[in-house]
Order: sequence, then C-alpha cells, then structure tokens
Amino acid sequence: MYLRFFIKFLNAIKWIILLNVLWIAHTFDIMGQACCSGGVPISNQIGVRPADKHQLSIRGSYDGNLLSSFYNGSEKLDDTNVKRFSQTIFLQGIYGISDNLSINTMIGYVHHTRTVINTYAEAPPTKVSGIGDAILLAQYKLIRFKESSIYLTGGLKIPTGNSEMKNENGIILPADLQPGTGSWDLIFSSGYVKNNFIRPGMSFTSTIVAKLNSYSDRYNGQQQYKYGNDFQFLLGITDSFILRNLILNPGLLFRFWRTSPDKIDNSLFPNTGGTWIYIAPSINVQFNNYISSFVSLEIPVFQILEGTQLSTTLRFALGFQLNIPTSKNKLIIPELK
Amino acid sequence: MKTSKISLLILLFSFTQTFIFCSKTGDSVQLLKNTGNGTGIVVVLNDEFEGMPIVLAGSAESHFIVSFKNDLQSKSLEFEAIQGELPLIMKDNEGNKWDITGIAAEGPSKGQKLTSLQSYMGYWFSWGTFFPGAEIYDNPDISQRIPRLYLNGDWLIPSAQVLSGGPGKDGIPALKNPDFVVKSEALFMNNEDLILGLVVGTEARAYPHKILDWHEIINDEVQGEKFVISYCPLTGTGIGWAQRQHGVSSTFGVSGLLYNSNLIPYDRESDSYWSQMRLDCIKGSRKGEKIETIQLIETTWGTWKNIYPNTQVVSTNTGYSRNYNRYPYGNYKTDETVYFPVSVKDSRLHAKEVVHGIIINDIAKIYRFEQFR
Repeated sequence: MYLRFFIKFLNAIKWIILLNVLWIAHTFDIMGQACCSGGVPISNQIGVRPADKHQLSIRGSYDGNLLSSFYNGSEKLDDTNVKRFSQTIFLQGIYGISDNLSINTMIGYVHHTRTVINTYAEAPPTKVSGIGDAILLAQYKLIRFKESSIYLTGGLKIPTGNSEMKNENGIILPADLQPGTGSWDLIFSSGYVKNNFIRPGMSFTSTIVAKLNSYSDRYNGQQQYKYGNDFQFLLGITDSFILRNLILNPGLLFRFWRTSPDKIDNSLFPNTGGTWIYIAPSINVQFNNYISSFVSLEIPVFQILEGTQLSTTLRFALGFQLNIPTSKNKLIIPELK
Repeated sequence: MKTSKISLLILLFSFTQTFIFCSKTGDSVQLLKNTGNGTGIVVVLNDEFEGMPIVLAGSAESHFIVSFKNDLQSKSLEFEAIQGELPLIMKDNEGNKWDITGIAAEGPSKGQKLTSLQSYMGYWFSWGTFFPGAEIYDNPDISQRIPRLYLNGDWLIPSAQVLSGGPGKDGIPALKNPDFVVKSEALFMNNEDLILGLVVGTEARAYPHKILDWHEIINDEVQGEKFVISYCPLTGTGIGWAQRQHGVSSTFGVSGLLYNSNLIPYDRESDSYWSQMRLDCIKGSRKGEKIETIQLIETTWGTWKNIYPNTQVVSTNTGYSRNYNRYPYGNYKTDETVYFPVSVKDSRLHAKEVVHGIIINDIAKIYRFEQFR
C-alpha cells in the first residue's frame, strides 16, 4: 500500500516538474546564449547521463554549427549576406564516484568563421579560435528503480575562454565571435530515464536544463554584459539493435530551447534571445565494451527570434566515447544521450 | 528520505523561477509628441556663438531645428518667426521672408541664401562625449571643456576606443542609388515618422529613419550631384555630405566599427575610415581630411510632405529583406542605456534627449527642443 502510494506520489511529482517546465518556458525572462551568441555551445553537452560507480568515461566530439538563416521573428528573410560557422572540439570526462554521484567536466576549443558578402567586394572572413569556457557538474541519481531513474545535475560554467579577443587591427571582436563569455554561470539539470520503454532495448529520456548566467565585464569594466538565461527541454527515444558484432543505438531527440535576450548594463540588448525547436536524429555505435562512436544531426524545425537574427541552419556532431574501468567492478557501459 | 529529495527538487525549481524573474527597469525619456503635419509653432532664436551671430528656427511639435550664420552680406539681421506658412519660417527687419532651407523667398534679398551652419540632431550623450563641456543654450551649468584629440598613430583617435559594433564590415549593408516613390505611394510612412530631408534645386528627397536604421548609409545621386546620407541609430545623428571630398569621389560603406558609440563609415575608394560625428577621416590614406557637410533637415514625414508635396521618399524596395516597420533597437530611443562605452559621460541632460548641436571651430553649442515650443 505504501509502495503504491509512493508511486502515485512520484507520478504527481513528474507532473509538477512538467508544469514547472512549461511555466518557466512560457514566462522565461532571462538570458541564454542564443545559437548565434558567443562562447562554445555547452548547453548541448549537459544532458549526458551520469556514470556508474568507479567508471570513467572520456568523450571527445566535434560540433559544427552553420548559421546562415536570417530571421525576423518567425519569418525567414531572403538574405544570405552573412554566414557564420562555429566549430568546436569538446573533451569531456565523466566519473562515477559512487552509485549515485558522479562528476562531469568538459572543455572545448572553438573556431568561429564569419563571412559577409556584399556587392562591392568580398571581404576576407573573420576567423577566431581559442579555448572556450569549461563546465564542472555534479550529477546525482535522486531516485533509482529497476528500469528508470531520476537524476539531478548542478554545477558551474567557468570562464576559461577569452572573451576579449582582438582582431588583427587590435579591435576587440564582438561578443558573438568570442570563444568565451567571461561569466560564471550556474547550471541546473534534471533528467528522467526509462529503460525498456515499449520494448526491451528501447529507452526514453526527458531532460530539462537551465543555465542562469551572470554579468561579465567588457572593455575594461566599462560595459556589463549578460547573456540571456538559457532553458532547454529535451525528449528523446533510443533503441538498440545488434548488427554482426556491433550494437547500434539509433535515437531521435526533440529539443525545445529558449533563451531570453542578453542584457547590457541592465537593459535588454535587442535582437538576442528567442525560442527554437530542433529535431535531432542520431546513431551511436558500440564497437565493444570500451569504445563507442556517435553521429548526430540537429535540424531546426521552428523558431521565433527576438527581433532580427542570424540563426542555425544545420548543426551536426560526431564523436567517440571511451569507457575506462577504474576498479575490478564489472564494466557497465553508460548509455549515451 | 526520498520525500526530502523530492522536496529538494521542488525547491530547486522554485529557486530557479525566483531567480529568473528578478529584473530592473531604468529611467526613460519621453518621446516628443510630434504633430506630424507641420502645423507646430515656430520659434526663432537670435544668438551668438564663437563670436559669430547666428539664427535658429525650429518647432518642437514638427520636430525640426535649422541654424544659419546671420551674416547676409556682412550684416546682422533681426529675425522673428512666421507662423502657419511653412516652408516660410522667419522674417527679418528688412522685410525678407525666409524658408526652412535659408533661402529668401520674398523681400529685397529674394533668392539669396543664408549659410547653413555645420549642425545636426542627435542624442545628448553623443554631443556630451564628442564635444565635452559643450555649452547648452540657456543652461547655466557649465562643465569643463576638453579639447579634441588629434593623435599621430594609425588612428587620429585613441584606437582603444574604437569598438566593433557586432555585424562586421558591410554586415549592415549601405544602399546605393535606391528606388524612390512619391508620397502617394509611400504607404509605409506615417506622419510622425522621422526623415532626413534633402533639397537640391527644385527636387526634394526624404530619407526615412526607419530605412536608415537598417542601412545607416545611403549613397545617392540627385540632379547629377552625388551625396552620402549617413545616419547612426546609436547616436541618432543624421549627417550628409557630397561624395566628392577634397577632389576624391567615393561611395561609403558601414565599417561595423564605432567610436564613442557612433558610426564609422569607410570610403570604398581608399578604404579610409571616417568619424561621422567628428566629421573627419580618422584612419587610412585620407587621415585628417575634414568632411564638408550638406544641409539635411530632420523632421517628421508629415511636415516634410506638407512643405514639399512633390517630394520623393526612399522606397522599402531596397533589395534587402528587412521589416522596415520594426525599430531594431528595442527601447534604446528612450532608456538611459548606451550600448557601447563612451569616453565622457555628461549627465546634465537625459542621455537620449534629442538635441540640435552646431559646431564652429571644433566646439559645439547645444539647443534643446524645449526652447522651440
């Protein structure tokens, strides 16, 4: 009887979380690194599940984000004068300290290229490279059942990236081309995982991520800049197939992403922030107990932007994961997002 | 135990929501109420600046101020306002009636023109930073005047104060010889919309702020004469000049750089960089050259088309896909925020109060619309 009551209570909590998510999404009044903003796109990397006890996972990945679509609100403008391509190499380590607690740390190296095409002359593209910001997260399995679990994540984005890089003429580049944001930001995430969903080998995930950003100094403290807060709601489904001696995990992810406008000195900075919905198909290949690889595409299917902005046309990622046993425990391969 | 974990989860979300919704709004300046039809009261000021007699005429309701040297044939006249006869705005003690461009339309000096002063409209903060200590007409508060900088390096100005505005060179596309429409076809224009007006001979043209907000520079040709119409949305300054300066003709583009939050145009001929508000070349082979301005009149579309019924106005068919009915800078016109750092902050007036400044010998004097009510 107590167990049944507890399950009902848990279901109620899930609805509370969902309502919270929808309410936050509806009235979100903050910042977020929009997809055309500066820094590295770390928000995409936060939804990785925690590792199991004494398991170290190393992930390396490449993320390419092509921004060539110009939007006014939800209207796509017929303008191809400006393009930006942001490429990032990520290195991520996840270690399970105990059955419930793991730590997740990540850093990226970013390369931005911006091209402006005009009818007079083709100017050389602006290129910027550098180490981006780092994240340090603690992930905690709050509730574990045989086939499902709820976990919480909390941590920091640390401003290891340069946010005041200059061009060849010594002029500080705009915020959206900087490798770093210069701010210490808080990250919260909560996820629900259901294994053997519908059929054995299939899993369902639901994740929310909130990134609450702080102000950073620009121009020797003459300007206080804050990226808009960032909120994501992700629903994913992953299946498993065996092909010869490989395990294939095709997946499909729905991502709702909302960022509020950036702020300068407490005033909203126009043409920043917005709402995006992406569909992201992916496939993960497990070669053996130690090595797996993945490829994913991210396709924007809907966006309402604040003002007029350059927005993502296509995003893609590929990478690998090494699972390194650090104890005599049997190795358990963590499932990828 | 698990119940407490769940409570923690709820608290976490509650905290998140509370944190999210803390916000602060700053002070704002009221936008002037423009009649938009040119029926506002005209006020004339006879004044003197840098030892030169000058005359200004303006109307706060119709949003225009024009300024001239008062030295027609080396004699100083006494001007007074004319009401309800636009484009006529003032008459003098010799029986002349003068129009808004400074031409005597009636009287013994008919056909003669007063010399237009180097002047333009702009947000107060930009005048305060480009001309530190500028005198404000009828305002006893004086701040310390700082002389203009002329450096010897690559830049005539401190290069550390040159900032990227964001979109990059030509990221804001300047227009060249855009299409125009007559007033009956300008359905996108409202009477209250601000324009920069240019008169060449018998031809009048209007360059709307709502188009310049998105392009900042229009390279145009009127009756064989080539002009540059520049407008910086961040300082609110609209300034025109001939494409031919010091014997070199060039169209101009938007460099994407800012100095004291103000537009830095570049000329496509030599790739030299110019400061719009300083009116000189600040980098490149033409460094140090001064811009000779032409007279532009900033006013409402309603006033302009009332004065010049045959005017043409830049069409929204610019070749670029933009929503010209949307102001792209949010609350910028009215709030205190200046997006990019400026070298001097002068708080005598609200940062975004639109004022008229005149420049003589690199020194500015400021006139407020409240003096033209």
